[in-house]
Amino acid sequence: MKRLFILFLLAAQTAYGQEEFPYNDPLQNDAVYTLFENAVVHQEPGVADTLSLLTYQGKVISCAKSEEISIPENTRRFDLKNKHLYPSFIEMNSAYGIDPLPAKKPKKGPQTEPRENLATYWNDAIHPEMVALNRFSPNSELAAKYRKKGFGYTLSHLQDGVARGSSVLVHTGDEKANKAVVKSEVGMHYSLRKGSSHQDYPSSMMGCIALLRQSFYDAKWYETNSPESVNYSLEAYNQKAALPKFFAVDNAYDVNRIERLGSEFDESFIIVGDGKAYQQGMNYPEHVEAIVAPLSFPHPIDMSDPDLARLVNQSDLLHWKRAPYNPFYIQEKEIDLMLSSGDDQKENDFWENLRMAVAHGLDPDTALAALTTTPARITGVQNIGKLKEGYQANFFIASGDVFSDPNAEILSHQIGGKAYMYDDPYKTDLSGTYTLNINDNYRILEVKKGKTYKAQVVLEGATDTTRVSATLAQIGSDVSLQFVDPELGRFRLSGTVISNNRIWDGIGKDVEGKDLVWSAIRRKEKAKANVDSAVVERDSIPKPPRMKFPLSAYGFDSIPKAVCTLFKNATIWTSDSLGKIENGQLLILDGKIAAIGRSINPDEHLGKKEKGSCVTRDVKGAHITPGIIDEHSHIGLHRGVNESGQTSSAEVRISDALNPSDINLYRQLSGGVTTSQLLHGSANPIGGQSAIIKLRWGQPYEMMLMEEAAPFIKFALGENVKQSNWGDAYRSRFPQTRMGVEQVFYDMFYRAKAYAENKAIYEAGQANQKKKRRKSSDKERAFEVDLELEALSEILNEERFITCHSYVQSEINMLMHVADSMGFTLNTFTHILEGYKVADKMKTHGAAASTFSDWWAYKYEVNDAIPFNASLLTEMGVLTSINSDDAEMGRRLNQEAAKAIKYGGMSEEDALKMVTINPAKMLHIDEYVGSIHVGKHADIVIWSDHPLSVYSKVETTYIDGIPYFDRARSAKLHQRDETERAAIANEMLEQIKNGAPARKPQQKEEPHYHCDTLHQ
Amino acid sequence: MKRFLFLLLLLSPLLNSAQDSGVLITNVTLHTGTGTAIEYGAIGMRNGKIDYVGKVAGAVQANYTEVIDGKGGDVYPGLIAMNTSLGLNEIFAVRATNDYRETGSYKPNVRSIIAYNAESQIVETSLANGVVMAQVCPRGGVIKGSSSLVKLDAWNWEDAAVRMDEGIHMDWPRMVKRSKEPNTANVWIPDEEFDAKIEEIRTFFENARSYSNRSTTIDRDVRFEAMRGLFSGEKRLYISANNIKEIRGVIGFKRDMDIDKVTIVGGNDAWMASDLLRENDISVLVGRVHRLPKYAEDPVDAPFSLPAKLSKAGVKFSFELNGDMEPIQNRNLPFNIGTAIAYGLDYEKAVKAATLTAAEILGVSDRTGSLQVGKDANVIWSSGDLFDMRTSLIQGVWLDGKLCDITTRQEELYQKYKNKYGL
Repeated sequence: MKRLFILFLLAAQTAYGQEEFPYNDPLQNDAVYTLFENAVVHQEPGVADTLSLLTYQGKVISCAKSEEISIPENTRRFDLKNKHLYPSFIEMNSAYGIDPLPAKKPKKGPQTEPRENLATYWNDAIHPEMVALNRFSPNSELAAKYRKKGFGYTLSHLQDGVARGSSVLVHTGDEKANKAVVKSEVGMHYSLRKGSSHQDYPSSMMGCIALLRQSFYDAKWYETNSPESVNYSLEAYNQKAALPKFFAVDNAYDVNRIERLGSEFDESFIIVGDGKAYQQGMNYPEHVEAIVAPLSFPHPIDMSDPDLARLVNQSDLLHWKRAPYNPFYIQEKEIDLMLSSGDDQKENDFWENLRMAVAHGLDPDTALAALTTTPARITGVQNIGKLKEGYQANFFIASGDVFSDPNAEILSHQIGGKAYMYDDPYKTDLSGTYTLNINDNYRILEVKKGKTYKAQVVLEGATDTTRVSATLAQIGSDVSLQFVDPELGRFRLSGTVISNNRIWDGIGKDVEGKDLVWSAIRRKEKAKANVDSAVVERDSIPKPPRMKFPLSAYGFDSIPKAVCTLFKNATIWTSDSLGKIENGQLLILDGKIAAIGRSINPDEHLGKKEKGSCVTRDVKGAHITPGIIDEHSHIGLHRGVNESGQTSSAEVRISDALNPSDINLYRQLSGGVTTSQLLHGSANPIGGQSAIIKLRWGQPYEMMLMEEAAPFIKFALGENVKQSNWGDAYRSRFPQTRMGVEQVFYDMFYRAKAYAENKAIYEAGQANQKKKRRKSSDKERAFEVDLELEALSEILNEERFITCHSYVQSEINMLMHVADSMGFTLNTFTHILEGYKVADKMKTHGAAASTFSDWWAYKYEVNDAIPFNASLLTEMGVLTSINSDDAEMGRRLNQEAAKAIKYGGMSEEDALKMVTINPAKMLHIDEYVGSIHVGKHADIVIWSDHPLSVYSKVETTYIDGIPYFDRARSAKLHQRDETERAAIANEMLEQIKNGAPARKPQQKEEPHYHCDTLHQ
Repeated sequence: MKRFLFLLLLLSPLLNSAQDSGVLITNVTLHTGTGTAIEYGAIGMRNGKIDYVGKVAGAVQANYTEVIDGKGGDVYPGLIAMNTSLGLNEIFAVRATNDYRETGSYKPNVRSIIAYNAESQIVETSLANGVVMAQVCPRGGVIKGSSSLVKLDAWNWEDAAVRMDEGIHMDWPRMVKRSKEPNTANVWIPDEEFDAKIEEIRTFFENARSYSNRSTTIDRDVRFEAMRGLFSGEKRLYISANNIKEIRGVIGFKRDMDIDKVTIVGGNDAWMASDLLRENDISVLVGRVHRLPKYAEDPVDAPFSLPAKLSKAGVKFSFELNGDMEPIQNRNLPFNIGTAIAYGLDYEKAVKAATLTAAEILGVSDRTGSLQVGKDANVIWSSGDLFDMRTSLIQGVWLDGKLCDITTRQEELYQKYKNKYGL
């Protein structure tokens, strides 16, 4: 089929002489018009009709009914009856033709500087100055692949780094690069991956975001100031500020991260690769201009071996069911949709996926727009994406409607006046019913066309009819036919198609080798219905499966509601002045604690209309405590807990790196945890900014963050920050000793002070200038924002608080001195395993302690750790809490607190306070949570037993009055998951049986981060 | 209580000499380790052995020089920590203190007992919480080496050894491996070499067996020499396996190799093969109770409820704590057990699993593991429930009838700084 003998068909193929190139052959002017007649032309989305298309030198001259076109004499005509003609698709996410950056070997040990000494940005992952155009060179192999998928254009960019530079729009014809380029610079491209850069920073995803954010600020400053040094990366940002910004994503929550960036800079982005847009549920983020969604859907997984099938994440199974609805979702949200095939996808998969998306609700017109006019509009190129007068005559011819007809095949693709043929679109369609005459014996021949011809010879006997299949081949105007007659044996025939495919005529051989003559005469067809446009039975489209919150095991079908509830017969541990109340009652209403006492009438707390609406829950024998607060946690994070690339990473924000579907959030709910401080790791003396979250399982990204939380930052001391246990290659980055660590703090705080002063001067100056500048249209001079120093100056102003990873007494002492001399209070020492040695000093300074119950001996600096630490600190009057730093231990913080009873004889109520009100105080959120107190959030836990006993189990965990965890319901959710799992496994195996390619089972484990985890 | 202990220790020379005349603890609940409890009980110790177990009323107090009023506390056989690197590793991050992982793949001849540090500070914290013996095991490779049972109050390893080289430890190949594709950190895929790796183990065992068929040695192979005990039934084979496919593999392996004593270590999916394990007389050391479920899809309390499941299915099991910060976790063995009890394990069966069953697996149940007359006096006395951190306060630990000093350096530091602050 791939015989490309046909190039002669379009006699004068274009290779317009290029003025600037020396050209020795006679000039080929291609002064011939071409008319493609009677095709179903999909001119643009929603406009398709049987039309003719007149082109000249790669341009559309006219596209109209034949009779309305004035056809010049020098016109070649091609009949495309019943064929479909589409404007070439535009691929918006490609590296086609772009020379990748040369691979470099990583250096051993730290690499803080960029590889080369250039006048660019300081980080190898930020190269907005890259111009894809400069690296573009056509790649005929990949181009051929694209053409066969219908793509006549690609928007190509260097797929490497965080700020990747500008993209180039090219066509996929085999051309000189100069001719292939359609538009030199189209968009600016970004991602959350550092790519081939070996520079240490950024080592985490949140570092990538922080870096990008800082570079945006730097560009603003560069634009409006007269900097003393040149930076052409920043120049590139500013010169190309008007170009659309594309952001590649590879995680369902990346759009939420980009949304944060978008709202900070008031910028909108085009999201590239969001195959999980549907997981955003009701509200897709605002600062998204458009989505380039992948038109590739996961294959079924081979679930046949139940042992291996257990590996497969529920979220993968659920996604498999929903992925084909993703384009439909975007369409329904009325977000501009573009569809991408990606460089790798196989041709057949692409066409199949396109029809799959349509079968799953995507409107064929939207689909066509997503592949043509929407990308054209985004690229700002006026004359592509449609087949109308003046547009580029880049289009492909298909044998049917590619959006609905599973047999539709692309026959030819015309780009830049060149035709790339896959099958002869002008070839006679042989399908039909014929009277077959072989040596005057008559039979019936039926020919149907699918991807290949299916021919049958019908033998009508006296009593019955037999059918034997025949092999039919077509080569140009030649046919060959062979079949086995049940009585007469094999016939081998060849002949010519004549009389406009009404008659085949030829000679052949019978089974004995005797010559024979034959003919086939086409019988008259019944009139066929017109196939003007694709008609899919819209009613037959299955409804998308319900969302889950989150889309994983234990995801809710709908998030439970806060219901006014009166708890009776409970032992209530208030962690408050009320102490422990036996046989108490507790009323929660509107997500808040409404009343505590011995006898509560809920109706007194309700409006007239709501009276009687409160639910009563008799929890006889159970205990109720405030929700547990974990001062030190690393769950629910995506791609890294440490930005270990620099000594100070004050600019990174944990809130950029949340993973709201981490199963550990749910597991910790089952241990009564309601609030956690998600801390940066301890790789650097100055770490990143914390996120204080509520474990609102199933809620959207931003809902994870506790809105009332105070800003915090992680600091660290000791072995981790001096890289003691990083191996021998890490012996050069400052600091390597505790002595050096002190100097890092002094230096950084002095810098922050100077920064704050400069900022104050700038702000005063701005206020003055505003008065002066009333008339002038000058741009406001931007301040040189430094996010790192910004965070540190917040500490100096006591607007941001420190939680400092610490172990030995010397360093604890040191940091308190640093804080004293800088005029702020060190808020919390976390771990603080030698706190007992400096408890008096901590008390004087006013620092709190958040410690482990009994960890020790994992490194040298914890050799003097004692399990009596918490008790002693408490006795000394230091505000003390017990934290987890560990996804497993976080589920048993009540047990860990109870160890203080054993080690040091702490009272039970004090022990419980160490995981409730004390951490709340440390985190400056005790006004809202941490105790059972009227008006505070209804964050409470129902325990089966004494809450400090090892035998106690969490029955229900409420946050804001919503029961996010309930033991009985959890068992039901598990059962539901198992049932769904089996059903999906069945469906997958059924598809595989029917020939779908299978994926091997695999398990994606949630990474378990600790302070010292360096990998992502 | 502490003061009382302190006094007791001051008197210890006297006590030691008086020991022959016996110690009786009265007015306690005896958790015998055999699956039963005796309320209002008393236990007598003499000459290093237990000489009375029963109701208070039945004990002849006059026969004992020392009679301790247990004041309603609880007495248990000393707990046995299984499969631990305790004493082989002092500070994890300091390489020089690590002696638990030898290089090489097949090294049954490597013996943990040699490196056991009787003076380890981690050992004393375990003893103080009621763990009196530990099965000390090497790590790393396919066959990791030979384990020994030690008591946790001793002068040196020879003194510590209760049973030397009682077992050989092996890792069964894992069904899955980490994916090496880019951007797939934490992705596990089926290991296509799974079968080949098992075949390699089988070959090693077949060779070892053939070697051991000849009782005299011509060309010595120290690895195969160490393996002899497995085929003669003297030694136990401990095989780490968690996934059900791996566990079934181990069961088949035991049958094919005709190895008498096999114990599965970890056993995350052991409950799925309860019948097979019972029928094939394979016991299980249940992996750390305080661990996360293996799969996101698992019930949130899956590891907590595994011991109860095995117990109900009649599988013979004990506990082990292999994992992060392993040596220091031994002092939390009682609380791991407590959690298992909270999630359905019968209390006395829990005691039995951590004492008598462990002793049976280790081949020392004739001597220790339960409160029975004639057995070594390895006894712990707590003023409250041993398995609940809220109440667990150890008042005394006796090893071979000797009252142990359970003051730890950690407690000394505590006292030191309390004194500093005048508390």
